[in-house]
Amino acid sequence: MSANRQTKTRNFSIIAHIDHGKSTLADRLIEHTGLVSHRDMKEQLLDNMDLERERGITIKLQTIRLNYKAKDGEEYRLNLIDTPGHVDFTYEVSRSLAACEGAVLIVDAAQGIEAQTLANVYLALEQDLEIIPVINKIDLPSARVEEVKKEIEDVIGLDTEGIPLISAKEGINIGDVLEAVVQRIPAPKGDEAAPAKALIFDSIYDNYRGVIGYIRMMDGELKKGMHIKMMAGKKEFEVTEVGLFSPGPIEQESLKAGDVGYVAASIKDVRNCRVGDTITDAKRPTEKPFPGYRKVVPMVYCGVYPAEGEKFEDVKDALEKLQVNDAALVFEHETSAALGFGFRCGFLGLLHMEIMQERLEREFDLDLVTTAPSVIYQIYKTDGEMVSIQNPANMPKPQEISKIEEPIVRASVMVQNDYVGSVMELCQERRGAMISMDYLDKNRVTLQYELPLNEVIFDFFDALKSKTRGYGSLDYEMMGYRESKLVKLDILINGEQVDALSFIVHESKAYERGKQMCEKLKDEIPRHQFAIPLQAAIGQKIISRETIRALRKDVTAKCYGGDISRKRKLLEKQKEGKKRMRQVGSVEVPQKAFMSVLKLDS
Amino acid sequence: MKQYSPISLYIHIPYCASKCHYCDFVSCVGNETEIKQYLLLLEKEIGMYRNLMKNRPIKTIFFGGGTPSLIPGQEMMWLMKVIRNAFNLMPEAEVSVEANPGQMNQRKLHAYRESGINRISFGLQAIQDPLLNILGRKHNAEAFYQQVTKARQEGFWDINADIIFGIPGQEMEDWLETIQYVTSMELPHLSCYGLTYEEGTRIFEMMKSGFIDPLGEDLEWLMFRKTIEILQEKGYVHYEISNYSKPGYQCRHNLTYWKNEEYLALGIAAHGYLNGIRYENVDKAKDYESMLKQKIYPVFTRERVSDDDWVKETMFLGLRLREGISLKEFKKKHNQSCLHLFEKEIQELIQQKLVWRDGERIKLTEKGFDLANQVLVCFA
Repeated sequence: MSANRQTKTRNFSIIAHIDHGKSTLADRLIEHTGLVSHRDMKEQLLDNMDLERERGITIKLQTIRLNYKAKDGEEYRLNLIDTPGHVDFTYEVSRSLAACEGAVLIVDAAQGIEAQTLANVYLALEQDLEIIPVINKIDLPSARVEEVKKEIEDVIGLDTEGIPLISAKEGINIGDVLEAVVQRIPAPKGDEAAPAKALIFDSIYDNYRGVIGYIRMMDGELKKGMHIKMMAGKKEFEVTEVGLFSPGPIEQESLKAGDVGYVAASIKDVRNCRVGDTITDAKRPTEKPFPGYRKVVPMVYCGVYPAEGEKFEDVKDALEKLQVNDAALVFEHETSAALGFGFRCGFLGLLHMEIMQERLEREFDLDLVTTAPSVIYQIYKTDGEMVSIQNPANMPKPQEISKIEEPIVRASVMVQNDYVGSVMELCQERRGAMISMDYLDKNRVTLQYELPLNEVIFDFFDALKSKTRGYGSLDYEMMGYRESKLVKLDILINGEQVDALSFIVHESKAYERGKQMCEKLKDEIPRHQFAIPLQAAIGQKIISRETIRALRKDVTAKCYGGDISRKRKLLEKQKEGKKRMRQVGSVEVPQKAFMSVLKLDS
Repeated sequence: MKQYSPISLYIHIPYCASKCHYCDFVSCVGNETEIKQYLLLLEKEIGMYRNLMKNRPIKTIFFGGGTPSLIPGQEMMWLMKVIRNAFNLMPEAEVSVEANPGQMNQRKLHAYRESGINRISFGLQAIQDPLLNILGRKHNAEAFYQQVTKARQEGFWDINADIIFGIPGQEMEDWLETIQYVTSMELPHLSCYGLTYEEGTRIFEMMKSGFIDPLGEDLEWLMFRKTIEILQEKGYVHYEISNYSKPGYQCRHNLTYWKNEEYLALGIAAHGYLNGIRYENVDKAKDYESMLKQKIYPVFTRERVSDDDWVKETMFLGLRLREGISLKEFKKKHNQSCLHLFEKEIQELIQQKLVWRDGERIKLTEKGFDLANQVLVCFA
């Protein structure tokens, strides 16, 4: 067995643009190899969070061992490592790919290559992976297999001769994918006798076993009782269990070079088992850790407040629990005059932020108010000091600022020819500078833009989708910081400045955004017995104003016959709504108002 | 003491000739045979409450719906007899029936009067056909006029008309015309409702899909104010948010609700309040029938009103009345001081000029009437 161990092993990922059928194919592979019967199959087994299934995206990585008897009569052990399907998680994707020798690249037969298809291919090429293109959804009436083949050849430069043409949904030609994996992806070539060396590509927290690291063994062996060392984290632990997933965790005596599995070592904090770190034998360490380890840094910040003040502790508790599972989430305590005690949380990107918010609300049954997302600005003060701020409320006074720098990203938008004009318009509107424009074929174009991140996090993706009828796809990466004319825009309700509504915006857009904010708030804040002025201001200067008129009539005529209970319940509901409003001076502001300004129609 | 206090009786007749667009009461379109069968079930239900009601004389009866005026004259006489036989109906009891203009002929009116009914509440709503169409009403003003005349000939003096303001398309002039019309007939009682869009009603759907537009708050407010002003000029007392009467003609049945007193309720989906318990009857004809046949009270939900809710109800119901809440009566009823119990709320409302203290009473101000919901919600 030992000799065969690695030659009969294949480690691979499935990569794809969102919605191209990654999770569905994974399910079919699992079914096809007989690991889980169709009947027991939850839809998309690997996406095991409700949220993932609902949104159709993978958030947490999963990995699974499949036993496959190939056409050559041999039994192969296939380790499928699922990758998250979103630009926010690029780093996680690159680490999972580093754990593989090959990748199955799914391309939608109707949509063809998209921005993330390319981004993922580049990541896979960086890891020197064997890429097997697969055209999915061939059952769709709109499938254009030949054209997509040509796209793959022209744009990516991969040979499409004899590639699997499948429908994951309908279970067509799934066997072809497995055969291709066996035949084309190289077997791992680790040295079993060398010092243990394993790559952590994900980790989760388990209440009983502590942090579970998902690992790929490169060299050597890990077994229970061994002392291991995290080479970047510098901490040492004793292994309490190793195993693999098939599909649930199955304890193994040891994990050896070429294997994919998990390790538990009574690690209490997920931050001690970071994605990208190298595990080695503490007594006989490997010489060189894996290259490219970096600590993930949040790109987007927002304030998270409990909807009801007294639940502050619950939010803290929930954030701590989530953090245990997600090293990329950071948070610290902050206080807002309008929203009370809360937290400033940092996320990898907008999607990460939305997912975390949803998980907080669903899994912990919390009701939250979140403030507008912000990026990290670097502020150079006149006294020479540089401060990084991610909360507009902390912005120094204008007279103390000598210059402000904001993060810039390189964004790739892939789009049909017809929409190039609208996309260019959108990017220009968002202060973008074009880097390049490349035709993939006569129909499809990749546009590269330099865009300020704060424009991207503000509704850019929605705007892109609507301007391209859902066809445009986006990918971006950080480029660096650049000086920019930014101002802090304050919102005043009935003359009182509301810290939670302040945000930082480019000077040229302040007026328009201020106006939109006031208009939106006018719709969201219920009328009071007095008129309420709404103002947007930069410093002392008012740049926009709306007024909510005083309420004149609010009386329900009838009393529902004798149905007093109904009347009472109705009043109770109203009162509940009132109670949950935030008091800004004498104005009651609904929670929703704080969030509605996150998405302004442009 | 308590068990001897008089009580009101509500009887729900869930049948209508057709469903109005704004109606969110339990009702269905029914024919005479169904109604007769329903009355037999009501008889059973009445029988079941006979003992419970032994010491509770009935001071008012209200036939509501649905459309109680669909009940044929003979059947109404029979039903009233059943009630009299089972319960102790006070001689001076107010007995009201809701009626649709156009469903009452002389013979029926005569029989109704004979049966002991002494008050008719007509659902007039408006006198302009286009507005009646929007509401889904099938009558016209002419029919109403004739029926009031006939009703008076049969000896009905206590007559109410329900009229509605805030109907999409209604102009101030239409509303003033409607008021003028009903007051010129010298009706002693008027209920003037602002149209509400209740979820699930036809008119709500019409609004949601944009086929009709609500009038807008300013005009509705003006209509409300005009109503109060004109009717007061004409000698009506604005005694409750939506109700106006000539002195002595207040609806005693509805006062039972507003004063948070108890009432027995019978019939499908009827809501009652008996011995400290609010209950709701089943709202399916099938359940109603099978339960009664098995001699089970056809009650769907029962809820004992907690002390906490009880005092709140007294507040939010009582404040609907112009006379407001008597601190003495409150104390007598609840054995607690109203001002003490709701110190914060009342103080705030007084500060906002929504309520005021008139001697030993707490009342809505004029502004309080305009914004009554804002006041009542404080007592939820």
